[in-house]
Amino acid sequence: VALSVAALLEDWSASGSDSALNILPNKKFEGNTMKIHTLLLSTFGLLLSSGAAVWACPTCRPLVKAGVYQSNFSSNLLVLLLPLAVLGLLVATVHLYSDRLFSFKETGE
Amino acid sequence: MNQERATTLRRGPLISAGTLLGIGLGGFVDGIVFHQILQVHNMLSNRIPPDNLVNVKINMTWDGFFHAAVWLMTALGLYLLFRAGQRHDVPWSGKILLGSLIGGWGLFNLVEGIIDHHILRLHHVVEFTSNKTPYDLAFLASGVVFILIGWSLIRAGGSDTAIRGVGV
Repeated sequence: VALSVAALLEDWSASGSDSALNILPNKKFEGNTMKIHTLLLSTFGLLLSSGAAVWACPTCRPLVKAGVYQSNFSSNLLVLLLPLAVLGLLVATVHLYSDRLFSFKETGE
Repeated sequence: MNQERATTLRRGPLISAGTLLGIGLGGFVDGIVFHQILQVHNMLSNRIPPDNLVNVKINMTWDGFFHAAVWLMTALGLYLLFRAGQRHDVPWSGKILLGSLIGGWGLFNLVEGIIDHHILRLHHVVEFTSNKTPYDLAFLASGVVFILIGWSLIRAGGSDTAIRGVGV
């Protein structure tokens, strides 16, 4: 990516622009704007094409499914949900016995 | 003229709804902060070390099951909160709701910490370090602190007696 950007910059400066930042309104403005767009688009495209997405694992899915849905799937699911089941029981206890737990007055006016 | 009559107040429905919401939101904090942003553990990362792409994705799948269950708890909490708001014997107390939310988060940290980190050893708070105990104990301590704060707020809300839409 860096080499491509450097090549584009070199090409840009060689094409007659006085400065890389010379985008003030003048005869060269339109040409410079197009070059900036070209530079940005090229860089963006290169970054996209060199990103991790290109190297994502297209063949992983069967391995992942085999790793998850195997003989110990139920036991894994059980231990995974165990804390939530315990928490559910605690909430039910709080629901039923909150007045005693928090020593609330039972009546109001 | 004065038609006051004694009503049996039930704070349990509001407390249980808030606690369930707190548990659910606590689970989401765990998932978002520790699993996704910091990436210091996954639900089964002590059983299935995420040391290659396939194992990382397997761990992500199990995280998904856990978060789906946490989402269900949150949805149930929302439903119970709606039901509590319809009752005429449930004091509509912001302190009780906030205390229940914080207490629920604390309960999540404490119960999930004890079961997953210490008993079943499914994962540790920070998996990729040589000394995991301080982080696990800090997680438990945060649970205890949240429960105490929640408990105090719920107790402070005990004097609120107005039902929803009356005096609030």
